[in-house]
Amino acid sequence: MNQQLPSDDELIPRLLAHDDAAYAQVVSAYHGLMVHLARAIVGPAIADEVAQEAWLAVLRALPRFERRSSLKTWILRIVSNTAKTRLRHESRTVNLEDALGDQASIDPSPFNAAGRWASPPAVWHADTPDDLLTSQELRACIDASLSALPPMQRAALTLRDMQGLDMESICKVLEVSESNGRVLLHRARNRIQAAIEEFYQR
Amino acid sequence: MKMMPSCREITEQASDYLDQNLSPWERAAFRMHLLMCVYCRRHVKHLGLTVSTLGKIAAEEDARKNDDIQQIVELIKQQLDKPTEQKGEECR
Repeated sequence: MNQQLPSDDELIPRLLAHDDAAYAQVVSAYHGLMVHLARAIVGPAIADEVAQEAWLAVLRALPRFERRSSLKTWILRIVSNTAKTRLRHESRTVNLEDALGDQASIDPSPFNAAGRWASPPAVWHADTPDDLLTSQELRACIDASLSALPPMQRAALTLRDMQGLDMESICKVLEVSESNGRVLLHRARNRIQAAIEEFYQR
Repeated sequence: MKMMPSCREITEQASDYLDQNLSPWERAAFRMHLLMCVYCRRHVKHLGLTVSTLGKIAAEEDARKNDDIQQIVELIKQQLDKPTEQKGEECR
């Protein structure tokens, strides 16, 4: 998708000079990712809008960009902040910190007091993603559990497992510590796994 | 020195194990547990499958999507020019 994107050193001066070709290159390279991140935090309805808003913020702030991270990470952090601001406005009840603090991951613990499996995982009749995704019903379960994730967990999961960013960049983008970033990812993965597990236990 | 992790601890470390984020000692203890515990092996395998399935879903979504880059660039430029209409920017 973003083949031959020039280096930040080359791109930034061209963007500052309002070079149309450079605009097209960064939009082509990063817009999709920005929409994915925005959608993870604010939901699908206003994700495109948030991504656009973030572009404006990016281009306006670019003269002051200090290059302490890559352009990509910096752009995504602006998306993340734009989205978080929107989320706070849209629903005052949503507390972003709740997304980190929630403990209600796996309801009845599958372990006994000694920490051994009391109700062991079911056998999944699937060995590959393709096997799993052949069931429309299971696919719907996965989509539903993705939508039900707390926003910050969904953002971490989207960036790591769906968009392939490294953990260090993700933590910069979401403005969380390395350990909190790992907790977000771990919980999100567990919830999706639990949804698939539930499907196979039925 | 830490003893062999319990099954519960294995599930807590599984995500970091897959991301190669355990210390060498933790990793060794983790693998030792997996050798002996069929349920934890299953759990970790399922977690790995969950992660690769998410990647697959993302790839499918991206293949379907077709953003009109030029249209998005135009929109951004229009809005960029709007609030602070600075004349003479392009003079030279």
